[in-house]
Amino acid sequence: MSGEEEENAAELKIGDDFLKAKCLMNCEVSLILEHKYEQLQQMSDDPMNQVSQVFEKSLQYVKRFSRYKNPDALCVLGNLCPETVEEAIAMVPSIKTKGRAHDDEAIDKMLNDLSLIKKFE
Amino acid sequence: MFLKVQLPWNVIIPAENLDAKGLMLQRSIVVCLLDDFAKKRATKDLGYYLAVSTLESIGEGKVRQQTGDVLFPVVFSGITFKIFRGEILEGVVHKVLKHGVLLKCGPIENIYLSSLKMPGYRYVPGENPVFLNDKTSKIGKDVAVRFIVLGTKWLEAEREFQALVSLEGDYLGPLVDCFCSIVYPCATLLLFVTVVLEFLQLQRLLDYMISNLMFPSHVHIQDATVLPQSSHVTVRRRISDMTHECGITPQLIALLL
Repeated sequence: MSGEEEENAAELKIGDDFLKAKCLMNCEVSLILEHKYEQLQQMSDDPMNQVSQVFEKSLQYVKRFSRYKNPDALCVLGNLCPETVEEAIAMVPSIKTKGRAHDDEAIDKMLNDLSLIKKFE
Repeated sequence: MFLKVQLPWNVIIPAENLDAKGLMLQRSIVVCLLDDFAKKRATKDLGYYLAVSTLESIGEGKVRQQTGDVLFPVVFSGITFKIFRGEILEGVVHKVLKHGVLLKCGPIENIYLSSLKMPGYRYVPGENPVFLNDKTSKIGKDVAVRFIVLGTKWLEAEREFQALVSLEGDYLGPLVDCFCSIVYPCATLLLFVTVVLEFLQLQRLLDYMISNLMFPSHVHIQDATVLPQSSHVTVRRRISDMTHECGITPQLIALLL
């Protein structure tokens, strides 16, 4: 591959082949694969025949390492970039009420992290 | 990392599958594409092929001289998984050897973490051999570990990747749920109590418990003198995940109470 030397994920350089590619979060992959899995199950009587090993292993992996149960809430937070805890809760009430129970301190920390990312981008 | 990529592809439709009705043709193109995609498994440049998400376009078909098959250039988007040098990933240990451990991470089965790249960990032989360090953090079978990728290798014959990884760096090492097996009886009790507390919505008490009782026993961060706030959040998240995995539901707790 051309430019192999420059490939280094630590600096977010992932080679020319992926110029147009978009990196996905584990929770997004999980959603897509689950959907695909359901489709395959409907299509054939014996779903295990249809599902490749690579697919199965990946699905297992993303299920184990999905950190967010609700990527949509994350997306909204990322887009709106709220600065205070109250603002965040007002816009995405589910971060407070979802059984996951983020307390104010945790939300505040999360927002700080988000604004840091924005600064260094 | 998982990537959403656009791929050009050539689909060859055998002459007998060609049909005067357009709809059937489209269908056989899609079926052929899905078949080819599943067979391909992986490539060196793009990594493992997971799933086709959408078919973007179907180009003009070209008839092949000898066989009469028709070749359609198509463009589709799909999901691939590729491992990069310098990337930080999480994987699960599936084999413990004397000189290191083997991890799996998504479709990749052979990720080798040498004992030379696990500073502070020593090998403890036994029926279930493990690597331990002074802070009672443990790397054994089925433990999730966060690591950095040192190098990758593509095996053309097997059509798969191998990788060498390391724990040298900040915030790398086994993830917190491994503490469960170190102080198992204690942890089970704590887990139960936390679940009950979580159920009863006693957040403050739960936070107090996590920060004061649990942290000393399972510091997974190497050489960290001050635990950052985010670890606290990690533990909280882990507890929720664990309770989900164990199938402990609020209904069950209500029953027990």
